[in-house]
Amino acid sequence: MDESVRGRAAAVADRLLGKLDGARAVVVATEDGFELGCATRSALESARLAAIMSSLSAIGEVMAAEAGIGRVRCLMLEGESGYIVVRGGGRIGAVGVVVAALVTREALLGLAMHAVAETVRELAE
Amino acid sequence: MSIEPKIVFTGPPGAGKTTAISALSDVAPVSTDVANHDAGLAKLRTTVGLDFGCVQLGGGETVRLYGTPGQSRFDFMWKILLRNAIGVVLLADNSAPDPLADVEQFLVALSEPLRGLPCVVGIGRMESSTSPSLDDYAALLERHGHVYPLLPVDVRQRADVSMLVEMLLAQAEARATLEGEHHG
Amino acid sequence: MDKPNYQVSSIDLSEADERALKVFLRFVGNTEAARWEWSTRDACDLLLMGGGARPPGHFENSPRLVVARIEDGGGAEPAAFERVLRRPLQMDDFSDLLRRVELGLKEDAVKIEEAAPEYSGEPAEETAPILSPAPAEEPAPASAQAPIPAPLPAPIPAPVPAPVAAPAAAAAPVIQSPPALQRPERTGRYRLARWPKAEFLRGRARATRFLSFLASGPLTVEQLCTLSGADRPTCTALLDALDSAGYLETRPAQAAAAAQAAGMASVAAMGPASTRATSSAQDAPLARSVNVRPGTGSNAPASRRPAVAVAPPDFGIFGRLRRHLGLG
Repeated sequence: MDESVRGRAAAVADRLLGKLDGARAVVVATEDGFELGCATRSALESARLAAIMSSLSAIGEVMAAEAGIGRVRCLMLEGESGYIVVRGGGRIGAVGVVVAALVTREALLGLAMHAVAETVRELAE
Repeated sequence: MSIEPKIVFTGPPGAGKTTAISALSDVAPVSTDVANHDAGLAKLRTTVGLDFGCVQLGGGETVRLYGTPGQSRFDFMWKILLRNAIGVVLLADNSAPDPLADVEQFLVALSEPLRGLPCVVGIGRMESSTSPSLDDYAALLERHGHVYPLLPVDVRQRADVSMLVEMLLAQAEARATLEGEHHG
Repeated sequence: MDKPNYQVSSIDLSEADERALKVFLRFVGNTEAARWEWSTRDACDLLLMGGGARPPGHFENSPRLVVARIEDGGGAEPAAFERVLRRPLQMDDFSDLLRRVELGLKEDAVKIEEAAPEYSGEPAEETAPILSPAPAEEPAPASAQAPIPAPLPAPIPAPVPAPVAAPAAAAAPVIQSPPALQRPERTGRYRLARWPKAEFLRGRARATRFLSFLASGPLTVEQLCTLSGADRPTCTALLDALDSAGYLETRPAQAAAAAQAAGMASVAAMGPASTRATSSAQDAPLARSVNVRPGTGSNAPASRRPAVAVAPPDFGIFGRLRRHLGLG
């Protein structure tokens, strides 16, 4: 993987973590499950999360297609102690990417979803 | 634990899991293929979630066919999909650089989910790549304490994939017989 | 040690039969154990006869002549030990014959044999066991083994292709038991110790279903018969062959049942038909066609279908999936 791609992903992850209130971690992964960049405030198995979020994103696309609701904008998981927002469809050069943000329950979910969407758009610029 | 009507196809990337499901499925299979960015894998696209097909038995009854991703980083999918399956078809590509190691990786990673689960091993491309031999695979399985049917297959051929399923069903039926005996 | 070269010849066969057999010989005549060649000389090891009571006199010059007859289909099913090939000629049957003859020749069977019309199904005294009698006679460890011969064309090792060609799991694998006096009573439970080597399976594609049952054992002979729909002699012959080759685990009947029950996960009944215990197998409806030989389909004359001991049980969804895939 081109190091410039990793560098860009890492920078984007850092920026998102910094500006998103309640964010615990941000992971940027390739569409086929490799970690490109990670910014986190606690220990995390980021490589493993990268694989899982790519699977989720792909399965989400399939489900959306089956249900006829159009392309997926984001997937959201609600846990007892936080949320995970996953958004695919990003690109860094020729590489398709998926961005996931882990936030606490105190975070404003709508803001988190908006911030992740903005991040995915920025990646392509 | 009850058995769900599903059969799982697993194995290293390029072994033909998606193709095998396509050969058997009565409906166009669904796949979660995305572009491959692994330079070490000579494929344009790769499965990251699962492949899905089904065999329609009539009367609304179906047997689901699942294909797992091949790379070890998706081992969580292997364990999820294998749960309560009728059995597992482990496919390998004999033209890969080290197909025995590929199969061994799966035997190790799936040692817990495979416990008590019917399994059959199908080896592809044996006509063009004659080594390792089926006997080599049998010896590998024996070292890991497994007795699984072994078969050379062309996963493009429905008859070959059906044969794999046949061997899976035979094992499942034998287990059901023994279980029925136990429960009287 | 070099492998032996054997000669096969024929008399009183049609051109078509001879042509077919020569083609079969190209595919299955050269194995790790032996090499067969078609001979036009007056001496050979295996003589394939289309008619006549005895081989012509000049063949009695062959020190170890074995005779096999080529007959039309439709007669009584030959016993496992008879050297008969039935038309339409099948390569699997020819391969089985060669393997059996090889073992006989290996043990220096020196008599001229004929398939006797009154043959009762019990092995002739002089008939050699089909397999190496003890594991010690198995091929040496992998490092000393000859490499597997050049791969045969796809049809030979590949599974049976046509849907109606249900791998004749219930058809006799045509495996010869050791002579009756030496054959152990099969009262225990049996499981496959490991998947057999290619050499054992060569020419026995129909045995793979039996082997798959045994891979999940330990099963009694009765259970194997019920699962496969084959009769006891057929199942016993396979167990004997596996035992001789060192592929069989044998356990006492009771102890094995207890151990298996302890380790067995629960299997819920699937679909409308419940899993049936062996004792009720006879009540089960015949859920699939049985004993269909590859290439003959269910339209084969009844006389070509080996006897079925019991109707195989219907395992609910397993049975329905089998039928849907044309697996019988």
